Amino acid sequence: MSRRPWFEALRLVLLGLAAAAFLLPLLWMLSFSIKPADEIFTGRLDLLPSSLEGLANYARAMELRPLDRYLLNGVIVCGAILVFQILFAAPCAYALAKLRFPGRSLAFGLVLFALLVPIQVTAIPIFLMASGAGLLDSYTALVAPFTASAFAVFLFRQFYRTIPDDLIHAARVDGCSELSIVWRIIVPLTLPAATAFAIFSVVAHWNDLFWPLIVIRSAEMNTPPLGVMAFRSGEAGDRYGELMAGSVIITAPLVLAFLFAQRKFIEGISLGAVKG
Amino acid sequence: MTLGIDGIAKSFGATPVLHDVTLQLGDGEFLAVVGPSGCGKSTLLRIVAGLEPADRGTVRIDGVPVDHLPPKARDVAMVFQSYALYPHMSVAQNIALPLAMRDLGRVQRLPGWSWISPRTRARRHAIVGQVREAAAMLELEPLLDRRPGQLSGGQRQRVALARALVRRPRLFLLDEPLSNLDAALRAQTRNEIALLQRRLGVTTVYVTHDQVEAMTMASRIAVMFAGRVEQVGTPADIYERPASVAVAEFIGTPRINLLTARVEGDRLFVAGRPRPIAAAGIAAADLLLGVRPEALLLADPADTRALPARVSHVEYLGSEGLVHLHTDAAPAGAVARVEAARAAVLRPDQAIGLHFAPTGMHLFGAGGRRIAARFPATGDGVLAAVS
Amino acid sequence: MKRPSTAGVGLLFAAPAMFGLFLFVIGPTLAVAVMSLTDWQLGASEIGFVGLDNYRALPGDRVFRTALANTLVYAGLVTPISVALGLGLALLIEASPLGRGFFRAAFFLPVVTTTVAMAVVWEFVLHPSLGPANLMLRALGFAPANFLGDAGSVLATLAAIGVWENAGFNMVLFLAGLKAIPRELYQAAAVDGADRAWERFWTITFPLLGPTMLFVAVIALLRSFKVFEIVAAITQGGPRRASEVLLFTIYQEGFSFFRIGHAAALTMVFLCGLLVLALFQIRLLGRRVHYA
Repeated sequence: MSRRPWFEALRLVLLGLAAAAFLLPLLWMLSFSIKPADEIFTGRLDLLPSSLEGLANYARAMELRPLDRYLLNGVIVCGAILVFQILFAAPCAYALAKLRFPGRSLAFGLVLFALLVPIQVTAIPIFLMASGAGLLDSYTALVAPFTASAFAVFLFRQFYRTIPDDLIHAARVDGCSELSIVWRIIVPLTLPAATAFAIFSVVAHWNDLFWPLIVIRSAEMNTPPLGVMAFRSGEAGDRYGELMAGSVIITAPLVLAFLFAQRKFIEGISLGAVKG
Repeated sequence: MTLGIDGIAKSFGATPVLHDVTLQLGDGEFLAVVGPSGCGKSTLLRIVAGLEPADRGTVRIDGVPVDHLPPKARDVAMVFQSYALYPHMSVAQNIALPLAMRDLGRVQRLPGWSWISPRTRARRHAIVGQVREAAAMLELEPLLDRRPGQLSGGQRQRVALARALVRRPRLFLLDEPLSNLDAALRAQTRNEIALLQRRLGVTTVYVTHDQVEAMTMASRIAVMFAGRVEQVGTPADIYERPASVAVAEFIGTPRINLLTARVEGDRLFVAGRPRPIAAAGIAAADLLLGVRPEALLLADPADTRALPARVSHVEYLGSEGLVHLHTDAAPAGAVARVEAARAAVLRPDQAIGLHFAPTGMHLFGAGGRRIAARFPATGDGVLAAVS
Repeated sequence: MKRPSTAGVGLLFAAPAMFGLFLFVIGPTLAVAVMSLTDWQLGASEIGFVGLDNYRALPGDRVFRTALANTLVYAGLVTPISVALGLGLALLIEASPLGRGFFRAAFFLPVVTTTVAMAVVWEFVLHPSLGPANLMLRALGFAPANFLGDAGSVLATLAAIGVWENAGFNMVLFLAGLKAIPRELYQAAAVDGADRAWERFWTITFPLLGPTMLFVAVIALLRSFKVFEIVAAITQGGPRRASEVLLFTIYQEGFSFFRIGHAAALTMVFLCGLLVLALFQIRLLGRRVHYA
């Protein structure tokens, strides 16, 4: 490709401006989170505060709301969802990809259909189920509806199909049971797929607001986004510094993880394109 | 250990792939199953391993039917054409897997369990020793920490062998293990496998489409066509007394020459030229005479009893020569194996006569079956030189 | 004869996931369809079967009409802009290796951020008097705007936030599409005389990226059709229902007013929209295979 200096410069200017515009809201978030209250409302555009007193926003935010609890809830919920998703999906995907059994194509058809249906469609009956079972406002209510992931089954099946049959035959001859074929051969072999799915799943459920909003009532069960919502509606207007600090704390885990493993994150999240 | 394959039949959907295949292997025997691709030999091997169910028939190991057993309970080892090494495991882990599966319990296999349990630690230790031993046998020691992706084709092949041998299986199954290697490596590995098999004395079934592999390695050969075993015997049996045209054509390079022939009384006519034959009850119908290339003897074109032919092309191979010939009796052409010095002086289009050496002659009747016949010598001398 | 069977194992392995899918996806979807035919209100003493009445009432329902219109306008704004922006950014990033990693990360960062947390930031940034956005407008000599509080601008503002959140996602899909175009094609085009950047773009990149473009557009449409969190977090559908969107209406009808029958009918409309888009997407996916 031809590399003309003026083109290179134009490219950098355009991308630079765009990047500035994209990053500005995040920079503002950081900036407000470390500004003392009196500096936030000066009507000036400085990004950096005049003193470091504003760092106390973080401490005060933690005092105002149990943000650590929200984060812990997020970790527990996302972790449990992911573990169950893989635990259920890997054997099912292996069966769909490599084993012959009656009803296999019907099962796969159902998976394809389920792939199209988001939680927003099934929310009302699942809510009624959870409420009937007395499970509202619990980890179970947050985790259970997502444990059977059609997307995971579909995705894993596509990857498992590319594994040569001979490898599975070799494992059978070498003495592996079907279950150890799944966990010792298939899953480790498709670790990149599992990793990508894990990132997809964790990001989606960490950021999800819809379902927690429906099933959670009490403050100590708040997931990170619910926590921010509660924080915001509780502090009407005058504690912007603390609120921003709280938002930073809630957003930071995923953003930092993304910055450390960009390629894997991009791979994982763009999987969402298949799901829509 | 003995292996009995008794009346095995198998269809994929409406397509039959095996018809009543029956084979017996004695303890420590090396049987090669050879046939063109699609003849069902790989399916047969998979049925023996327990990877495919048979429709009918029984597989017995040491006389005990194993049809209901899954592969792991049959104590067989298998080497696959693609080697089927686990790409995410090191060479050492690949070789250790069958041992771990057999010698360690479900709980003991959990990662880190050997920290807790001294028993597990001891067993793991024993496994490491066995892996080293197998690796040493196949000269894989320097490669133990590599992944299969970092190995050459020949090295992968040896890892596959080591993985199969390490647990001293009752039965050793090889499915075209050499077909992904280049020619030089194939010849070398052929010998290594044959030596290894003799040393370990494991009963072995070796499936290949390459008749050279079958001839050079096996103590007995089963030739398969279209889902049937056509002939079973020692390499010499198969070569010297092929049961059918198909077997005769499949075994031996260059391929056996087929000439149209006719029998009247005690005389065999090839292109109108008679020679004596001793065979009982043959109708005068069209027959095929198979003549091995080394039994096709060049004669003076003036010899009226010799079959007239014309040289079409000469392959000079250094140690010997192959003479391709046109003759009316062999529509597909014929090939004679001659001394190199003889080949060097032949020219394309040169006219020549052909005699047959009785030991390399085979007569086939309708349906391509072998007809028992003797060919008394006619006293024709081999032509010393053709100039 | 007996055989080492994989059929039993297959059923056994598929069963837990299939059971879960029945319990949490297939069953509830059917249940929603049935509920949409009833006048069920949570707490009501009896439930009546009303046939298609819930659906018949929809065209006359002001809230539904507003929500549907708003959702379509929102999707109609976010989809083309975020797709075009994503494509432009991807092309600029791919044009040269300089700064590639940094820019890719910068544009993708909004995809990873928690929408609700960002809502707090947006609310302040777009504050009618003190927000930096208005400070900047004023500094440039424009009149300040009440972005989120004015019924005339709120949907466009939410759409702008939607673009900010989605453009990076689309960019990444385009980057993958660009990578799938074989390098040799560019070299062949250069040999054939197409040596200017824009010539290469029109002869190779654009036609070969066509399927990706359709694919990304459908994905973007699906994603923007599901807009909920920013509305729930900032505007709650206001002011004066100017930002009422379909999912938010479903949420309120179902979980604030507990009009289950009505909410179920709305859900079925939403599901139909998804199905239409999804069928379109499946056809596109099938076509994408040709060069991917």
